Amino acid sequence: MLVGVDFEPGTQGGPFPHWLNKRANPLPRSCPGDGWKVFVPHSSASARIVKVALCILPDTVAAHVLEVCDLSIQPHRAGICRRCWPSGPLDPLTVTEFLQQIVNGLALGAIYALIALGYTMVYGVLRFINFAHSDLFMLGAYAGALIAPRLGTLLPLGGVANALVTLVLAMAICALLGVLIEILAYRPLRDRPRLVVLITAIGISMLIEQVAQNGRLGFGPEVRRFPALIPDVTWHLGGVTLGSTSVIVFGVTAVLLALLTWTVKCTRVGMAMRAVAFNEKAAALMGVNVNRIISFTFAVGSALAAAGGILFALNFGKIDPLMGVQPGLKAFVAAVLGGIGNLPGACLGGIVLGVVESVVGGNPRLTSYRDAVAFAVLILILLLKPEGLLGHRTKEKV
Amino acid sequence: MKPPLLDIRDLQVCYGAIEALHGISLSVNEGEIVTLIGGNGAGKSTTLRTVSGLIRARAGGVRFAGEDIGQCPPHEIVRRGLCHVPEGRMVFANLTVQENLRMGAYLQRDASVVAREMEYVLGIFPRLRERSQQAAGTLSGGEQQMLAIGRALMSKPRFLMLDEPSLGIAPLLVKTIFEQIVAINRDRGITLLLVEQNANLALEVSHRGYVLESGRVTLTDAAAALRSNAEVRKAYLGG
Repeated sequence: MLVGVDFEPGTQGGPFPHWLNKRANPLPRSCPGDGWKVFVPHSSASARIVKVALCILPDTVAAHVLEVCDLSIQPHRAGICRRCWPSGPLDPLTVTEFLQQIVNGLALGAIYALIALGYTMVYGVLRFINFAHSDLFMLGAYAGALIAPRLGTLLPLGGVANALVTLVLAMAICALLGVLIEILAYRPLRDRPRLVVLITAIGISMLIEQVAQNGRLGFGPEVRRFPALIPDVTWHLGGVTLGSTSVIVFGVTAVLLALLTWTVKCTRVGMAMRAVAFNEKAAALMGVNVNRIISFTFAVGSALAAAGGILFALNFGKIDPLMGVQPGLKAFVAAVLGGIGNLPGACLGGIVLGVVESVVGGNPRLTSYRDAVAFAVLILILLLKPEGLLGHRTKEKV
Repeated sequence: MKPPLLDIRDLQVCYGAIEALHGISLSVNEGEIVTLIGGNGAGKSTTLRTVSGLIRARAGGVRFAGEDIGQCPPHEIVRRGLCHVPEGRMVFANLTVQENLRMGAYLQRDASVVAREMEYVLGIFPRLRERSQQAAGTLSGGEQQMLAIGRALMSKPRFLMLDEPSLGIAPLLVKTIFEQIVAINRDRGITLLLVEQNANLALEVSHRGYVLESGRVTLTDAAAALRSNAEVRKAYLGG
């Protein structure tokens, strides 16, 4: 957040900050003062990358970035043109704020990871993107909102136990719904081209959203308050605030990830899942009931989406029938970012995306760009590393 | 006389509009090794895939141990003791050798039986023991074939179908694999149906053979007789 650095169009010359001009000069200890100008050409690709770096990093770090990028030698390639940039100086993001955004980003990323796992698991076994997945996320949140108040009157449990039962019930309901969707909509199309199934998935997604928005059939279009399932407590660590919701998000995600890892790595059904993902026919020749494994995959993926939905609703306090759309798309980006079909990749992708989005969004001037950043990440990944961070390039062996 | 273990009657199979098998009939008796020979596209692999349930027949029937299995899904057929080692081996490259073998015993819930079978397979293919913790994708072609056969044996089959077990494998390993095929048949009484491009080698270990040509059985005889048949020699055994 280079305060007061003025970005002007142009290619050469101009007054640069002293540490941009002379490499040997020591880095500034504090924010550079007002009135500096950085001149850059409009179309420099490296300038755009530096632009993002400058905006999301605290300025002491940003100065290092400029130094490491050797921009003191070619200063005209650094910085941002004013025409491409919101006018006025960027607000500073202190180290504390930066850390705060990292914490927020990790919580958001954990939720993305939970949703992304469902996308990637279904892709692993069926090689298509289940676009209705984001609606199971929404249904999970609604299930939670509907169950929680009734549960309170039925079972006189403590708050945390109540929250836990709500979570488990919502996950079970969504698991069932996920399996049902697969059996009714996708299974009859198993031998058709992938595109047919993909379009069906989009159709199912729209169907669920429309029904949910309908007041008589579904929940109605209005935004609802999500019940506070857990007492709201905040802790202060240094300058960083940590809410009980974030802690719950981390805790629940960690437990679910551990359970999933154990299931996939150590159990018979997990081994069968991996076998089906690798080669459905060969798995069938081992005596695996492929349909049952696919149902199981949908159940697990949908349950994770439901958990993500409840955590998301808990984090933001409100739900609506279209709440799944944005997080669903982001989680899809996360799955691609990590390498679609790869479980650790989906988690990593979710966390990375959540952190990047929060850090960018944490800057008041850039808040409206936070979604654009997520999709810019998708485009970059597709351009530079289509197999994703942890994915493998698929090789056809003859 | 006992009815054959596998009895295929008038099997017709289509890929889309193209008929690949025009009514094949063949049978395999308990304890036999039978080979299907024939050129590319003769329908050998299609026959095996239809028997194991990967492809549905358009007409005709497949009976195994006296029961009609024509409409069964693949996992039901494996449950009955009929196991298919497909062409191209299809080992699970993302799983370790040991996990691949455990997948073979997927239907076997008794851990002690699985352990015993695992010991047997690792005994006949010691190479697999050395590599048991390695991902199967890192094995050589011959080792993968051993793994594919070992994996099939893990299900304790009565009947094993092997599709091109020597394809793309070093000659020394081919010898090992065929020795084990004979041993499996002799020691464990497993009935075998082989599809093999190396017809000479296959007929050497077999009791009987069928010659397939463009989706039809054109000749059947004892293996020794096929090997001395002038036409078979000319077409498949290199003169």
